[in-house]
Amino acid sequence: MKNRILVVEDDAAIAEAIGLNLMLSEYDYRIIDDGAEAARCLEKDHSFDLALLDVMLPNLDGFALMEHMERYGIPVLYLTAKGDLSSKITGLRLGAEDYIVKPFEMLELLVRIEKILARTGKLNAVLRYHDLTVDVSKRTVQKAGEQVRLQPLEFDLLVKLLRFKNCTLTRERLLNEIWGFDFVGGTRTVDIHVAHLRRKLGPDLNIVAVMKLGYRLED
Amino acid sequence: MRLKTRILLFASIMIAAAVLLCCTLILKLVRTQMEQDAAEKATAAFDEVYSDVIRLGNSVDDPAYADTYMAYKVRKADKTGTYTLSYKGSYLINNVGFSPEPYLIPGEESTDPMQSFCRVFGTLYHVTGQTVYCFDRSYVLTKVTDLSGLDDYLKSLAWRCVGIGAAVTAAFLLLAYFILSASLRPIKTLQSGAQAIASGNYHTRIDVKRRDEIGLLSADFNAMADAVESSIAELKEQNARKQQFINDLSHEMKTPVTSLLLNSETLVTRTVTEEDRQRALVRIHEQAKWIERLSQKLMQLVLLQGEIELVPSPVRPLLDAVSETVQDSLARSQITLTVACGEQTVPMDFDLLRSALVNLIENAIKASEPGSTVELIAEDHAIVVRDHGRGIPKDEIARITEPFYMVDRSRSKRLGGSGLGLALVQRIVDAHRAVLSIESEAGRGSSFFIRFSDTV
Repeated sequence: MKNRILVVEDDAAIAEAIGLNLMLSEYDYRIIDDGAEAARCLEKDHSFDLALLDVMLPNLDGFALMEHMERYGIPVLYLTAKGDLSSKITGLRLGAEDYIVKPFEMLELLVRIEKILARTGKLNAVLRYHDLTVDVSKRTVQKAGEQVRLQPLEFDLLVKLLRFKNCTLTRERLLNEIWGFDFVGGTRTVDIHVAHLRRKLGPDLNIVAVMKLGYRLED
Repeated sequence: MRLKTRILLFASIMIAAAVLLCCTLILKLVRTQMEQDAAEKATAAFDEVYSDVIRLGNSVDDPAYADTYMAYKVRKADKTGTYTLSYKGSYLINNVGFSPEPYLIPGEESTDPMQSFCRVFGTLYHVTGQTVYCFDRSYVLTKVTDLSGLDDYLKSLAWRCVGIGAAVTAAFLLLAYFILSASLRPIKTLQSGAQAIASGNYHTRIDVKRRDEIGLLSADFNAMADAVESSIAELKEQNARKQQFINDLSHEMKTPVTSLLLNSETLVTRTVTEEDRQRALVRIHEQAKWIERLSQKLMQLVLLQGEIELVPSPVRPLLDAVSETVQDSLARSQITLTVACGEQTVPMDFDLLRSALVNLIENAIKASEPGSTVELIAEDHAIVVRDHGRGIPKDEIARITEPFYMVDRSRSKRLGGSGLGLALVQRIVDAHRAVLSIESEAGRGSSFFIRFSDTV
């Protein structure tokens, strides 16, 4: 079951780019470009796991939309060009999960979305890829029904690649997120673990090395 | 040293000197007067004794007894013991303790008694004498008057003068201190006012109502404070406007930049279908064009800060150039432009004024429905752009020339508006020393008037 995300953003170019990325990361999404319309639409359709709200919206602003979101228990992440402290505080006080200031990077948005979904317990615990089934909560990997034994760090790496499928992750980001900031080993460590994953899970696992950047798991 | 101290010190020195001078002069006069009196008294007394001595005559015939006889006569006449008698420098009688003869100064006539004042061992004396003859011998009879009483009196008078002088000086100082304090108080007020202004309280004014120099200075000071306050306020307002512009601009830039970043990042880091790739590229292109338009308008705004040169030119070529420029937009939106132009001349910078009119017409096109008409009219030192479109809500008319102000934000953006067009028009009109006025009725259309001043 895919996570479903509501995007309320009046700039079409931004909304479409977000939508494209959400789709590629296997989220369902719905884009609305007007605050009042978003509020109206929630009455009929409110099965969203997360809402990405712009603050400056036509007719009804993002802060005012908050109470509608709360009514249906939808966590909110604000996307806004207003970078001043007071509007950040207003947003967070109202009960937003997070606040991201434009301009931002897509990958950062995706990471924050994942963090919020994990925090609110809505993140998919079971990830599937071809004949692989990864259960994040039990930390097990099955390939065509057979259990595959992975080292803890190999497992974390596999989950990260699956979560950001079709998205290039740099070696540095992987190091930071899986090994931690204080890890002293070089980026070669990532290459070695990727090699282990390829050996243990076979050629079906389409991990593409991207020149000078990092790795990307493709469908 | 402070001004007050200096003035007081100087004044007290002057006063003390004046008092001293007066006292000295008075003392001198008193002394002369008293000496004269004493001398007169002494001479009168001497004359009596002298004439007594003369009257007694010569009743001895032997010169050997002359000395004794003379001494006898003097002792008889003198009741006070202040007379001396000498013969050739040696004294027959002397009870005064010193030799008075050398002090005697002859008078103008030889018959006048000799006299003078002298100070012997610190005591003032008056001496007066006359020669007395007995046989062929000449004796000198001298009266010595002790004037130490006069000296003491003068001394005590001098001390009293010093005391009175000191008291007068002190009283003067006290009075001067109060007068000075009172007249210098406004300076203190001025000073604290200046300090207040220096520390940023530009609304400080000085309340000194006087007709003297200090009053004038305070008035000038207040005028200066007025000037400082108003120019500071102007600077602050200018600064606030600039800051607002920068805030608005950075906010305005964020949306296209975010969009560019997101779309390009998607293309760089993700595998997407050919169709999605194409769409993302179109979005990038659109945003890049928008940023280009925004920066072009910004550039024009910046360039407009300087003075421009106005040349009186006929209006017709200008309107022709404008309608030529907007032909494409008109055709795209299926809108007709009608031009009405009288023969007239206005002072203009051709390119800038064309740019302003093009901006107004493009706005009119955006506000109009397909099939309607936009009018461009030149009449009576004014150029009018009139549309029959949506109109502008009344309470928004005043704000639409502010940079980045858009009545309907999302609609304006969809139509490629930067929010700077009318701000630019306003600037250009200002630079032409003309007036931009707007008449509008929601739902019925708007008219933008550029009215030039009448001088051609």
